[in-house]
This record gives sequence, structure tokens and C-alpha cells, in this order.
Amino acid sequence: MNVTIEDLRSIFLFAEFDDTELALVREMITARDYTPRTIIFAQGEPSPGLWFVRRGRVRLYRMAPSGREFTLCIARLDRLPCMGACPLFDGDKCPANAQALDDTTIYFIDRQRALDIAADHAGMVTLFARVLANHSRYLMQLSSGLALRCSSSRLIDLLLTYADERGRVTAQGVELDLGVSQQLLASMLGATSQMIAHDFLRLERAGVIDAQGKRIVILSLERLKGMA
Amino acid sequence: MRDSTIEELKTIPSWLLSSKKRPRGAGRSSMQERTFGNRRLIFREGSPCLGLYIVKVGQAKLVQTRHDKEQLLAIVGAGDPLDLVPFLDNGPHACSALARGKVTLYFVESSTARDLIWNTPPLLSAVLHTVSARLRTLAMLASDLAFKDVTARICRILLDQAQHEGTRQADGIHVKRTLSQQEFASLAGTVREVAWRSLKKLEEEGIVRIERTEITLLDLERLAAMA
Repeated sequence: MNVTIEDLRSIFLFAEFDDTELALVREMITARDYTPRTIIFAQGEPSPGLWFVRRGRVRLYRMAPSGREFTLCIARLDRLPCMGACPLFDGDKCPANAQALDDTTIYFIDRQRALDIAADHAGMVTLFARVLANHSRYLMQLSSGLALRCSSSRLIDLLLTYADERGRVTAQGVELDLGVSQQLLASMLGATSQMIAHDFLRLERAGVIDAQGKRIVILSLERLKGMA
Repeated sequence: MRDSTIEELKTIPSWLLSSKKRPRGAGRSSMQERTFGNRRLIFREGSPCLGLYIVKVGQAKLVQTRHDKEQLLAIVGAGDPLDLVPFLDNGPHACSALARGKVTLYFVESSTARDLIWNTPPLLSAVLHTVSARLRTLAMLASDLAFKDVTARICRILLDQAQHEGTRQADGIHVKRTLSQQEFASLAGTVREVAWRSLKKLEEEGIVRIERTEITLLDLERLAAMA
């Protein structure tokens, strides 16, 4: 599969690379396609390099010995597109599993080659720094949200974020497609499916949302914000 | 930036990676020392980053707060930098920092520190490694908070403490109670009463023994199974 300079530039992390650096990165990148549900890398395995999501969505999740799963984040082109940053520096094992949710295209760079480029090209180091910063900020928010907020508050936060990112204003309210099953939603919120179903029911009974499967209409953004 | 400052501050990389080493008079002209009393705010999450702080003596807590509730992310000690994230993305502070007891910090003004980090490859590498290690810890913390109940999280904290600071004796592993009840609860992502109840339950089951200054882990196997 041919990867063009424009393909690379579409990943915001590469936006500030100059053409020479992009050409160098392009030489080292392998594009790989994955079908939905395919495991891209597994928790506890050695990490061979960095992955960038070009198309589709990838779920990063940790699995407890009991088999319960917790989704750390969903990586996609416009949000947290880089995976494998932790093992890049410490050479340790992958802290999470990565699973394709859709038909997905990933750009892969071998760990040593990524470090080699970074030795001579400031752009790559800047990219590493941004990835680490983005993930650090995200995980700090996630951890404090899990510790300090109940599942219904976390659900409301997520609905408000999605409404902002992808909501469509209709006569009824703000309509959005969750794009994930309730089970996956529960895994993202550190809750059980039953808890999330209960939270949805509570919001529906309060007349704040109308939920039809993955399609949600927020009937009153203000009231929803007030319940967070 | 003056050359002498650069040379002096170049001692930091090894110092960042090893708390045993101290800077050899590092950058006296640019590095100030700042002392904070117990629980004094050093910087607040979301505020502009005014500079790089590194612990000289004492300890500081990195926390996130929501509606007056506090989640402890890490306790950092001598040789450890506080929040490094703003030096990677020019953003505001990613977390708040509070003094834990009296703490003395080295402080380097933001633009000086940023210049230095980005123009000294070993220092940049040290910063990236440190943030990467903290990122791994954060991923563990998030999944622990999602997966585990309070008792399991407390077992995990006790095992971590035993591994890093415990002393083995005939009756088990002794761990000094260096965290306050509030800090212990915050680390476990809960409130003090719930954390204490869980700890007492472990004692009733003969898994730990709680004394005023230390906790003895009597049954490591059961503790590990519950973590």
C-alpha cells in the first residue's frame, strides 16, 4: 500500500513536519489493514514500535485476570492517534491491548527506526513529546474521573463531549450517534452494562435525553450539564 | 541564557534519573530554591506553567481535584521533577502540586527550563523517559480504579509499599505508615472512612496487623490474591 506525504500530513501529529522529514518517515512506514475485532497488539507482549491510526478506530483496553475489560481510550485519526508510546522509551511490554473496532488502516514504524530518526530530526522528537503529553493529560483526567465521579456523571461528561464533537442540531435537540455498543460504553466508563443502562433510564425518565440504541437525542443540553 | 547556566544545569539529566545524585551547584544564577509549608499549593492544574520544579528536600504530591475532592496521582521525593507535561506541549499544568510536609524545591523559570530541555538532548531524553514511566503508572492506576474494589486497591498499595520500602521480619513484612489516612484513601481513590474500614477488615481476617507507626503484612499470598 502506497503512503503519500499527504496521507501522513493528515495525521495531525505530523502536521509540522517538513517535507524532508515526512519523506524520511514515509520510507520507514508500513501501512497495515485490519478488519473489525482484530487484535493489533496484546497487553504483556513486547512492543515492536509505534502505531498511528490513519483510518477507522482502535480500542486500547486493559484486561483484568477475571477477564473484565476496561477501555482506556479509543484511538482515531483526530484523537490520540498514536499508540505504543510507553514501550518506545522504556522498552518494556505493552501496557494494554489494541483491537480494531472498524476496518482500520494503521501506519507502523519499527521502534528502533523511530528512535534513529529522532536522533537526527527534531520533528520526530517533538512528535514523541506531544504524544506523551496528550496521553498524560488524558490519563490524568481519566483517573481522577474514575476516582472522584460516579458512573452517571462520567456518562454525562461523555455525552456532552460527543455532543460537542459530533452532535447534530435538530428540532428535537442535539442528536448524536454513540458509535459504540452499550457494553463498550460501560467498559469506557469503568462501569457495568447494567449500571449504564440504569443511568440511561434515569436520564430518559428525567426527560433529558431520548435514547434509541446507539442514537441519542439530548433534549436539553443545559439540564444535562446541570446533572453532571 | 548564559553559558555558565547551561553548563551547570547540564548536571540535571543524571540527577533526574537518580534521586541519589545531587546537582553540583547546579545553575545557582538561574536555579532558585523555594520552600513550601505542609499542604501549601505549589501550582494548580490548568494554570500557566511558570517554571520547572525539582524536589531538593522533602516530598510533594501530584494530585487532581474535582469539587474539593482530591485524587493522588503520585508522591515525588528528592531528585524528582514535578509536572513535566507543560514542557512537552507548552500547555498549562496537567495536575496540581502540594507540599507534603515542608518541602524545598529547585525552581528554574519556564523559558529557561524549556530552552535547556529542548537544547540538551540528554536532558530531553530524561524528561521523555520520566513522562513515559509516569504514563505507564497512570494507565495502571486508571485500570485499577475501573476494575478493582477499594479492598483490592488497598491490597495493591500495601504490596507496592512492601516491595519498595518494606522490611522482612519473622512475622511478615513491615511497612512504615508514611501516608496519612487521607493520603492513603486518596491513593486508593476513595474516602478515608471506606479505606479505613477495608483496612480493618483485612486485619480482622488476619491478613495484616495495623499498629500506630507501621502495618505488618502477615499473609502475602492472600493479599496478592485479593489485589
